[in-house]
Amino acid sequence: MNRRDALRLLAAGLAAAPAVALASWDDGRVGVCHLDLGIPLTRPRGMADLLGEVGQLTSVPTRPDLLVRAPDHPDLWSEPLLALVGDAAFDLPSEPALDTLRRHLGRGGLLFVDDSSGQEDSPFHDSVRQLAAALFPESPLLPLDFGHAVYRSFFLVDGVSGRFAVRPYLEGVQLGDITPLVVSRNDLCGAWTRSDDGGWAWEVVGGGTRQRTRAFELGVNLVMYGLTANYKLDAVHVEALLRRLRDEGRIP
Amino acid sequence: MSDAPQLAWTWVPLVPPWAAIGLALLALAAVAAAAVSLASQPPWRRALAVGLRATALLPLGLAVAGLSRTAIESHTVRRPLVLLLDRSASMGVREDGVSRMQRVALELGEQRQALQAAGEAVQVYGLDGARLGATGAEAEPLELETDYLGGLELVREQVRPAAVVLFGDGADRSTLGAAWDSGGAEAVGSTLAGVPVPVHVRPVGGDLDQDLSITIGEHAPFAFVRRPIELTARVAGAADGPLTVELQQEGSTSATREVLVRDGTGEVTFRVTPEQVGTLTLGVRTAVPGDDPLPSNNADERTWRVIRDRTRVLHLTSHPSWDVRFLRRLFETDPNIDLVSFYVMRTGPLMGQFRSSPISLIEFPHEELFTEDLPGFDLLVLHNFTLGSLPSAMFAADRYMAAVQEFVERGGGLLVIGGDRAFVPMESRGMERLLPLPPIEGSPDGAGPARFTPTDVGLRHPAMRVGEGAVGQTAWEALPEVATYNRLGAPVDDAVVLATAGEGGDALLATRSVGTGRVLQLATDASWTWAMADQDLHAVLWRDVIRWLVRDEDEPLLQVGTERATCDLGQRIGLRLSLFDEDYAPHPSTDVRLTVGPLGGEAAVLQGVTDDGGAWAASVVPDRAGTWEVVAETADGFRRASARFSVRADPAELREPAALPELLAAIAATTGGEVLAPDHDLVALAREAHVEREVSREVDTPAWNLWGWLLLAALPLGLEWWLRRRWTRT
Repeated sequence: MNRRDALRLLAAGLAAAPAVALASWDDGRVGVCHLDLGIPLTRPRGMADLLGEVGQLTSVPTRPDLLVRAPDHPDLWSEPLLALVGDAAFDLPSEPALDTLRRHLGRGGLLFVDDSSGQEDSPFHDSVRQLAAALFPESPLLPLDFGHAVYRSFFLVDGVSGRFAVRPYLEGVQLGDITPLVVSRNDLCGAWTRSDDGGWAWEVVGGGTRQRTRAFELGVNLVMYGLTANYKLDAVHVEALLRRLRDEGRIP
Repeated sequence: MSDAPQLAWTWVPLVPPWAAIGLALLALAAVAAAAVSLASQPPWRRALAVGLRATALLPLGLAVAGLSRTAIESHTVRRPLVLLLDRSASMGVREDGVSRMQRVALELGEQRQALQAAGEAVQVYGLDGARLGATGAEAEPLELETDYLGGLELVREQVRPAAVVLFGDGADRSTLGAAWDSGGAEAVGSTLAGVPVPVHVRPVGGDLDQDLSITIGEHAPFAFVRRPIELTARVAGAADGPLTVELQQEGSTSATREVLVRDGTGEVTFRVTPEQVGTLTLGVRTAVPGDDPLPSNNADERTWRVIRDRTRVLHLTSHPSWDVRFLRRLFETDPNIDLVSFYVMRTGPLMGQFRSSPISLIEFPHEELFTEDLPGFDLLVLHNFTLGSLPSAMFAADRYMAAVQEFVERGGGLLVIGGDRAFVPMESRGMERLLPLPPIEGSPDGAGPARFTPTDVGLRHPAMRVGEGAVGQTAWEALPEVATYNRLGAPVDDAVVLATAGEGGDALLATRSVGTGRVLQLATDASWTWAMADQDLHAVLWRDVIRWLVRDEDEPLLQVGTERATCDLGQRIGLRLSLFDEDYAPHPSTDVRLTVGPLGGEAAVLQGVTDDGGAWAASVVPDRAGTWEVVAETADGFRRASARFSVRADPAELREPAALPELLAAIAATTGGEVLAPDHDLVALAREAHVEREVSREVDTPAWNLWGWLLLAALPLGLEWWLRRRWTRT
């Protein structure tokens, strides 16, 4: 067979082959969608910077882009991980939008709320409480104790802080054994946000580098909790973890 | 013997009502005319003429109206006396060495000559309507249950007897028995209100204080594999003291236990742990004393359908993802699943500021999982998983893949889900021996987007049945498209493709059998999007897939089942066979056979042809107690399946076999019969039976066709004419 014949055969083969569109696996990468409730997005790069870190530290491929959608957006379902970051009061979404959001979270989505005001009496948090009550009227927003899987889904976290330390714990709404709504009061996104020059966009208040590291540890855990839920509470993991911690002398 | 016919008058209208009314008016006018035409005559003449005309018109009017004479020819008949024999199971109870049935036969035998001489005047029937010999010599109990009312109705339909003599023990557990239990003699009377013949009764049998029996208590029809079941049996009628009870498993004694009998009763419990899925037959039995009236109820047996308790799932992935998250949630919320998951959470050591951060991760125990623990699971899920994500495992990849192959060949289920880390040829060595869609060298990129499109096979396959009724194409079309999928090689020869990327596109979902296990491969990790769109469909689909893979609801291509797991001796039980093609389409018009019989005994062969639905139904009446096996085969012997059922020695009736003469007495009292003594002269009773007149023929003759009747009209008219001529002669 000469080169011409070979090319002819190749052309014939290509013509006969069914047309299949190539696609990358990028669509399967884990991203986050900011929820647009009509207030300014105070830390637009925080979640993206966190996802970049998740991609570096864990086996999870991430997609650190900025995606913002209203709760009644028809494609909201394609982004299970939602974020609501802000510092101002907001109005409750319409009832249909609340239904969509409730269904989204009930089917396996996770909404992470971060108050970037750093204030004890935050109008943003008041609105968040109203949103939580409207979404889950029978499940109150309560502190998540340190036995919760979110504190051990990747790192072992025993304290909660962000750029601020308004509350030493996360809050959440529990539905059965899952927590579809997790709330931070400590401006975690502020601690994760990098500046254009590669440094940090916001200084952490009080704890320095260690505080920022812990903010990232908790952020990584949040994403991993969204992806694995109570995986780290499985008995087989708990037993092995306790054994390892005893071997390392971390626990008696 | 025919008698002189009887005459009767009836009406057979000749004209419609409106015509009859018209004719009546005409007749009145004719009568009036008679009076008017003699106006000049004296009144008595006018009255006589009117009377004669009316007398003539009356029989004419009646004839036209349809008066008819009926001649009824009849003859007299002698109805037979029916001896109705209770041949139910309780009539086999032996008392003083003789069964109740035999006692009846002895009594009838004593009148044998007279009964035979009586010919058709005395007829013998069973409760099932079967005509028996003149002396009812069939001394074996044949019918399962006593139903006196049913028997009476059957003989009434067949012979219309003058009277019935019912020989039985009164142990009726059907209509009359229920009436007796609920309302005594009064309720029995109401129930028998439609029986117009006198029913004499001849009670036999006693109350059976000395019958030793053992009965297994109520239990669920299924048991769980590896979970003990408790079998509780109740002993009755035994002498106080210890009694040995044997536990029979698959035909041999597996345990014995002593039960302490007090006040004639005792209870014993055995614990048995089924070791495998399928059927389990357990029985209990006691020794049979020499004078035991009913040996058959000294043993009892039941069959359990043993199913899987919980499905043990090992879920492995090379990195967490939304697909992993949604499938895990489904596993977690299914109470029938025991889940063990291991996810590769990081690909290298932590660097920089996190170097000293405490982590919750544990070492991926691949050696233990693949070499030690795997056989303990029912289902292995490799979810976007490659051993390449565990560098330390790559050295043992061949060994691990061999373990997976052995796991599947021995009956394990393997679910392989695609994704960016799945089906990398270099990292999947050995996997291609198991997969219905082998990995191909080349592009690491996926393809897509594409619509997940079930094939025709997929729409009817058990793995995709999606609940009770298969959902149609529409439901699948409503789901989001698959964003990206793995491009894989052509399906291997024995693969069954269940879904493709669009109509006729790349295979997305395929299955095959390897050894006794099953493999199912999904070439995408995007099914989680279906959960966001339709949570129910996603959940039911995956549950069906899991059940299919672990054979929880086994769906072989040839299936055989029985109507019930346990039936009574002599009770008909239905058998059903279903035959499918490899793609689960019904396989019609195929010769099949069922071989049915007791274990170790003679089996009957039933042959048939599958219908359009690939099914064939048959039935059998077990004639021997114990475990029975049904073996289904295609005529060519290529496919084979079997099922078992238990046949209880004691039918329901024998659980309360004591005689109930009070019920028989109530039957007699209600119907005008008598309670007869053993030596009652049956032939004399037949002679006293009713003589009935039976109509043989009825002949109708209309009045207009009777000459005498027409004469009745003609004579008055003639007389009126004659008188009128005389009165008007001038």
